Amino acid sequence: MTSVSSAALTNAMRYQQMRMQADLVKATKESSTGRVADVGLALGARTAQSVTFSRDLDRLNGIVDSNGLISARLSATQTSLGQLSAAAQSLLSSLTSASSGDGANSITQSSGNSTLQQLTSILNTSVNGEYLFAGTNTDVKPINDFSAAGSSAKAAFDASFVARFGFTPADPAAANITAAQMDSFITNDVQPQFFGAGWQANWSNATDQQIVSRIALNENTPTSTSANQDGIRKLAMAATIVSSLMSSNISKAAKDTLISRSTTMVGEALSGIGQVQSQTGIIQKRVSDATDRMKTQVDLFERHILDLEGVDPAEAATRVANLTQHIENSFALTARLQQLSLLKYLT
Amino acid sequence: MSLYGMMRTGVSGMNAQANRLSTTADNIANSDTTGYKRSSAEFSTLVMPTTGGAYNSGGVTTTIRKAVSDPGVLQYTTSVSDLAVSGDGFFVVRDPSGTPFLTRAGAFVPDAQGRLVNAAGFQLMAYSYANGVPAATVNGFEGLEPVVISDQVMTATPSTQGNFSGNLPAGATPVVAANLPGANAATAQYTSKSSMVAYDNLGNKTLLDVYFTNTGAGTWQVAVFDQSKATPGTGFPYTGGALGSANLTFDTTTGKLTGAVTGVSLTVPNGAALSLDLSQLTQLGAGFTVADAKVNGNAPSTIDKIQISKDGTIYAQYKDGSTKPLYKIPLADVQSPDQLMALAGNVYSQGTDSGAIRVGFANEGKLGSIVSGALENSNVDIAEELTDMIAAQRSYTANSKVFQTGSDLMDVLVNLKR
Amino acid sequence: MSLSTALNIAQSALLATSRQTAVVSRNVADADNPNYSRRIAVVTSTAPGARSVDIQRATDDLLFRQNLSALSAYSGQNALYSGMDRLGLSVNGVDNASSPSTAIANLQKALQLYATSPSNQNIGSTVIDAAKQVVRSLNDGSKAIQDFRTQTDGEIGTAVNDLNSLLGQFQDANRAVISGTRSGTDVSDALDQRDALLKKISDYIPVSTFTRGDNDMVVNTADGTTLFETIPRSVTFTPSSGYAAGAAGNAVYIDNVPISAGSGGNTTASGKLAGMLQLRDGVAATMQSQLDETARGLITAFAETAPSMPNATGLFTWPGAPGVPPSGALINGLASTISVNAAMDPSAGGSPTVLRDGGANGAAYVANTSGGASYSTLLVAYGDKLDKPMSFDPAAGISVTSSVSDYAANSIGWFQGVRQQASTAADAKEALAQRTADALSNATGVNVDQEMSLMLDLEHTYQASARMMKTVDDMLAALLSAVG
Repeated sequence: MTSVSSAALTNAMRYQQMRMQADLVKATKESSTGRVADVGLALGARTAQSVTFSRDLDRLNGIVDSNGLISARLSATQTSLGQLSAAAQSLLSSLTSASSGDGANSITQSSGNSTLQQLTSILNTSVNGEYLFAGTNTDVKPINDFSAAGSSAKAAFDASFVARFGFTPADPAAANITAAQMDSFITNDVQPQFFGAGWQANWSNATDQQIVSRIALNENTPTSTSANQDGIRKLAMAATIVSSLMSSNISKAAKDTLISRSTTMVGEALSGIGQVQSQTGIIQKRVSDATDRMKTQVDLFERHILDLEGVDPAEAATRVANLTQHIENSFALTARLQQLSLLKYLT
Repeated sequence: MSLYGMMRTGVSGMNAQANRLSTTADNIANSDTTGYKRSSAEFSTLVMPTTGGAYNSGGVTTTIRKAVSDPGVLQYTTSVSDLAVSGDGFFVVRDPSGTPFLTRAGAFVPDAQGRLVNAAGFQLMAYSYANGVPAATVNGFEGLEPVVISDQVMTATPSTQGNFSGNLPAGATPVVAANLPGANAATAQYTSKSSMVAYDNLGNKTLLDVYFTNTGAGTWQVAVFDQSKATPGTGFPYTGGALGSANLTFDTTTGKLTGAVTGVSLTVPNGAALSLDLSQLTQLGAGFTVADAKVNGNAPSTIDKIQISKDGTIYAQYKDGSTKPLYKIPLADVQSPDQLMALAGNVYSQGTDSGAIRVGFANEGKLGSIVSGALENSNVDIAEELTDMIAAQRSYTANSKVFQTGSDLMDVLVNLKR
Repeated sequence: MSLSTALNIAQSALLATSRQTAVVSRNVADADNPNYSRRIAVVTSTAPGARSVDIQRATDDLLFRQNLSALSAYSGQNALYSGMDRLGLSVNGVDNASSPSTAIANLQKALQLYATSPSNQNIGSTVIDAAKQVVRSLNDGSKAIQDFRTQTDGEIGTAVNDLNSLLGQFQDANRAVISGTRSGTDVSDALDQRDALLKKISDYIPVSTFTRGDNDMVVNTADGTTLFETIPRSVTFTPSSGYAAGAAGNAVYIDNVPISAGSGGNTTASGKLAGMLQLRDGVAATMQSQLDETARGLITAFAETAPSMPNATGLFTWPGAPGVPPSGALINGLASTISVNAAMDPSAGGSPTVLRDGGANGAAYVANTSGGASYSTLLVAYGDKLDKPMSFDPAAGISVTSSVSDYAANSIGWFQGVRQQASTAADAKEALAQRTADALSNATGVNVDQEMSLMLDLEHTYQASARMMKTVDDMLAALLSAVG
């Protein structure tokens, strides 16, 4: 004979109700959040995966955000390079017209002058407080203004002229400078100021070292340019020569040499700047590619996390409904069982 | 043949019925007396010699019978010292002057001296356990003494033997000799430990630590220590070393103990020599389990209450739950209980026709058992007595009519002479 | 047989019935008492008319033992699970929000942002703040663990006191049972009490019992240590006033034999004491070791390097600075002493640029020799090092080679793995305990309806006996009137 004790009867019911209510709390939470109520309990040791996914997701989003910054910097750089290129172009055209004998020397000189000023202002562009062309030395203006009072670059240039010829370009004696002499001056005295130690000493505060950034989880790349690029130096040199010597008293022949050398120089500068532009373009592409890739990864990770921690909302809702129903049934049953007693019939 | 004779016969009949009525009165009066045995009047004829055609009416003689052997119904009570005999036999009691009697009235209560006394003031007699297990003296009351229950204090019993059975784990890691508990070093290691309570001479509890240590395949060392001598916290070393130790050998195929050593002997501190039987130990592939552990002896304690078993043994139960036999109540019997001489107070003594009194213990031979917490009711049936009474009344009336008829006839005879 | 006999029999029937009724009413009164065993009044006729009522107590030894062992198992498992719940919450926070893993992830994010704009010192300060968050998470976690251990230690102390007092009560109950059994009185109540105590004791420690003569019970622990034999054995424990990482807790001794702690998520611990010992010396201690290893990993990952110079502490430092802790070896308590290098902490007079450029340990360690404000190489390298596998001490219980950030995540995985097992096992063991309790209750408990129907029977018997007495009385009255 199996017998049931009264205490067991009510206890079993109470225990079931307790469990169902605990389950209901969990199911309600799950249906409202769409995630399992307790990730640790649901996943156990796989919680590490979920944590790693969430962390990587955060990191990827962080990198996507920082890539935005990099893109902004790169596109500003690109714009600046375009402007530089335009300035070089206009210098080239004024040099071309000068070589064909059109236009006054003073016009050519002022064109050189303005190119120099544009160059300085473009290279000293800053985004978010960082100078774009400073390499890593972003808190210092990369290019010193040649036309500013007390410019050491100008002083050095003037001094080198006086040292070579014994007089200033404004001196009437300058008319005697031959083309060969001028050529030699440019090659031996001017060039070192831009391609030798003179550049870093007088002109540029930028470093050759570039900012290296992480643009994807495992991808690092330089994400800045430097004012020390050859193209820029050449443009600066051409513009400096033109602006300093074109309106002086030097001979026509010397001026022709000067123009032809500057023309060549600007041409080279244009191609150099073009190269930097294309490099920057490549990096821009890499950054945007990386960003796209990471966005795909973010989606993937989100899906993984959902797979791990997610709960089918429909299922959760059904479970809540079921549990509610069960608990109600159980209450009804308990009430019935309480009624079911011989005592009622013993009066 | 004479009228006088007839009248005398009527008187004798009336006397007989008066006797009968007396027994009925006695029976009804004692119908609720514990241990009372119904009396009845038995009649027998007294025949006069008849001569020729003359009939001499005789008379009736009365014999009083006691239905002693007829048991009464047992009535249960709540007092353990209320005793009844279920079956044959009598309690032996004595009056204050020391004369022994038999009775079945067992409503005993202790008096001021602790003697068990029944309602009629008779003291219960029994054999004492003071000198060991008593034996009954069959043909007399020698050796019987009044039962006295006083608050006597039990003497403590020191432990002398014990047993320990269980299983020692077969797969245990052996301990090197220097670290065996028997060596009592601070570095001692052991496989399993148990502890048991033993009693010293004064009945103080002493905890014995029992260490079982595997020393190799199938070999174990048992070492027993006094727990009170342990170093606090670590156990080892114990002051004074091991109380006893032994090396056990187990058969590795059956797991049973083999070899001569089946126990460990030791002396309980301030106590007696104790031999601990380990013969039931096994060494099987299970964990350490204890199946039974017991050490005899007990602590001193005072009497809590008494109890009386079916064989009549009076046990004292002490506060700690242990019991000790104090007395054994004998039962006495005679060949013909109905012929016993009834005396006041529901007691009987040996009568001329009853046969000799024999004394034995309950449940022996045809003796019944002693029931504690019950009393034997009288064997009187009111209904029977009442019907007897009516019958006796009618008989008496009839006898008186006989007498009256005789008297009337005598009257006629006397008037003839006028 | 006579009328008087009939009267006597009816009287004893009334007595027997009323005793049976008393048993029934006692049963009904205790129907809801889980520690009450049903009493059965057995009536035996000894002699004609004499009936004695014996009270038997419903028992099922096997079910009772099962229930005891299930109770112990559940109690141990539950102690572990609920303890781990508390521990996990106080160390890792809700949804691991305050865990070292989350803090390291944030640090990595901040580092990434700083590497992108190294000249921005506000972002640099954010990195230091994130690093402080990591340190706080480790320090607080370490403190929480040691507080938890101290607290658990206190709970063990309380449990040991409870156990001793239960054993004392057990002695009284056992004595009552023995003396009642010897004198032949009804010991059901004492047995109920003793069984109830046994249930309570098995909450703390698993027990196995055997009964000697006179119902004298001997209680051993499941591994054979004597817990109670004639007198209770002492259970001793010295609580520690506080805990430090790596410090071992005191053992609980029963009869001078230490209790062994449980192990595993589906714990081997049976009884609350073993469960709490496992929490204190197992789970919490392992968690501390993992925090310590995480701290060591962080110090190592951010160490400053320079050619021909020993590695020296960088962003994270410790009392042994400037040296870096030896590789692959656990240093107890490191998580509680790790701190952010003051040279890099703006609030302590340092500057985040030291992190960017290197040189917290002198000029030899400066990596940004040109001094550029946007020098990011070192920052990027630190980010890489966080992901670079290194070796960890196997004593801490998880992956021997992994990156610091993975190690921190694995630590959570380890904990949750154990917790999940503990939870599943706790559910299973609770169900078993519940089921065995139900089975025991079914076997030995009271069914009120059954008792009520028995009551009806008894009522009838009583009525019949009373009727009998009345009839006999009437008969005697008739007789008496005949006499009169």
